Amino acid sequence: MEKGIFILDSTGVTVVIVYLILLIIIGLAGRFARKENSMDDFYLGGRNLGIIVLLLTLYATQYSGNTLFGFSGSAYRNGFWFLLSVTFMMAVIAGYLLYAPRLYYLSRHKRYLTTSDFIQDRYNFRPLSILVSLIGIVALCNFILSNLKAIGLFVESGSANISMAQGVITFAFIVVLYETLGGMRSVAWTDVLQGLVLFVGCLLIFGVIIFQLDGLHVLSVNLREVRPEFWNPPTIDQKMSWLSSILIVGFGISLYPQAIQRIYAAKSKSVLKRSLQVMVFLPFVTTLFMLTVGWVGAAKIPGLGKEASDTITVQMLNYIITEVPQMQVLLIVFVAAVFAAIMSTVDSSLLSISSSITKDIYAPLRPNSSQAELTLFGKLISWLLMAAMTVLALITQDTIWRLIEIKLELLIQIAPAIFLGIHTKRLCAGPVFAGLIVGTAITLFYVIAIKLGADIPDRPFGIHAGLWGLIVNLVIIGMGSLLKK
Amino acid sequence: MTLALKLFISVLVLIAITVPWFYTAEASPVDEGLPNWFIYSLFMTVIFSLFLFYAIGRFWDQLSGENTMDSDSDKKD
Repeated sequence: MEKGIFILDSTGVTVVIVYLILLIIIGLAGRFARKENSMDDFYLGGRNLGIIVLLLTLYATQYSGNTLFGFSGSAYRNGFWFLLSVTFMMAVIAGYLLYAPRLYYLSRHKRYLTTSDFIQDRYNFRPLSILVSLIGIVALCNFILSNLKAIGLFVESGSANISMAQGVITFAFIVVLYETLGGMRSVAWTDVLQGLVLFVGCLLIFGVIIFQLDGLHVLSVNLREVRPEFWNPPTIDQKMSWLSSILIVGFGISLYPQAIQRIYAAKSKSVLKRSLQVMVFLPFVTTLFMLTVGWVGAAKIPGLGKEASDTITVQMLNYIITEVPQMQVLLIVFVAAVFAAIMSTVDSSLLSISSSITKDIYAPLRPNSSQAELTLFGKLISWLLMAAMTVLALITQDTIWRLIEIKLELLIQIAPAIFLGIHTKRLCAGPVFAGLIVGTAITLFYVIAIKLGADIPDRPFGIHAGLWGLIVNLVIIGMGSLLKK
Repeated sequence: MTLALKLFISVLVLIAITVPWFYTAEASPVDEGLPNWFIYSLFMTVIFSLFLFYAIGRFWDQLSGENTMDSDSDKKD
């Protein structure tokens, strides 16, 4: 990759160091605000998140490093077709609409801590709740992996002398440090800062591209000369894939275990409602802005390959600094936004995995453990897990977008257990468990077969393997429920 | 049909119509500016967002089932 001006020069590195110190201070503040040494306090912040904190932690968690790198990279490669990402980030809120009102109500009465708590309460079948927990853990590990990879790529491509390994290890250490200091309270409070920085960063890069680089002219004139195929309407396969992606990603993200824990952590019903109403419109000022970076990048820096295009955001920042040198100071904010986006997602995922392993798997094996012992065990899990993810991030080769898709294709398999389970009393544990196993098996088989180089289409009829798995999953649930009658 | 099912179907329909199904290479000549199918999809996404904003405000209490369902009766097996 061509390296010109480096975003992470001495000023950039100073800003990042100050930013990281600030995160640790906020993490410490979360630690001192602790009311009791219990899992409820550590993992859900005492179920007391107000509107600002809840909105910004939802925002910072949903919009990750993938938004800044994966989406702009896909926009660069796929063109206007990738507008679908705006819709699927909005479909996430549609997912919440379908289950959050009831789940929030139940969680207040039954003190749920994890997704599996609801599953166990609803179906009273331990193998099902453990399977849901395991799927969540695998999906979130993938999420952490893709975000650590993103931060490594950013540091490496944005600096002259910081390697990917140095970047990944440093940021992984800082995240696990403040996460284990104060749990959800520290994570949510750091998310406030990170959410604000992310929002301002997206506004900034979009503003610079539109007003300083004459972005609209570039999109409508220059881009057509370089990539005329972007103007072609999607083919029927692409349209099917468009719909499939919205369903997989939209409903999949709404089932993130860390998002469900934020629903539990809301201070009140009205706080949750208002936060989600604001979240509806954020794809327009976050996702769409980052897509614009990818599209303008395709016109300004053509010819990048698949891996290199995932760093188009960094390359565009380099390009902007070259063209408009006075923008250098302002773009430092964007550097902070990148770290904010990635770290806020990694910390939430880490906290959620830690709670799942502790509450869903370890606690039933040690029923006499005290709350303090369980919390301590959860913190230990966080450190071990982060160490393992750091190593994997340095050796994994998949593109960022592909890693996201694999995670969501697995997560979507638990959708029937939650969406249907929350609204119908007739659903039984057996068919739901069988459907989940078969749906997950189909998805994994397909993903692994492609990974091993099997000669099969990536998406049969343009539809993701995860959606085919979900269809079979639903058929089994339907047939099983009929037989049970 | 329950409210949740009606909303689910509405959401699916709205998602489906954000896809520019009726735009083909023959029907969409390259004009000035951005592609027609892109503008169409963006417009339908705006409609989708307005629907969600309204539905969250209007139907939340009914979907929570606070007054109509006994939370303990959810257990089945």
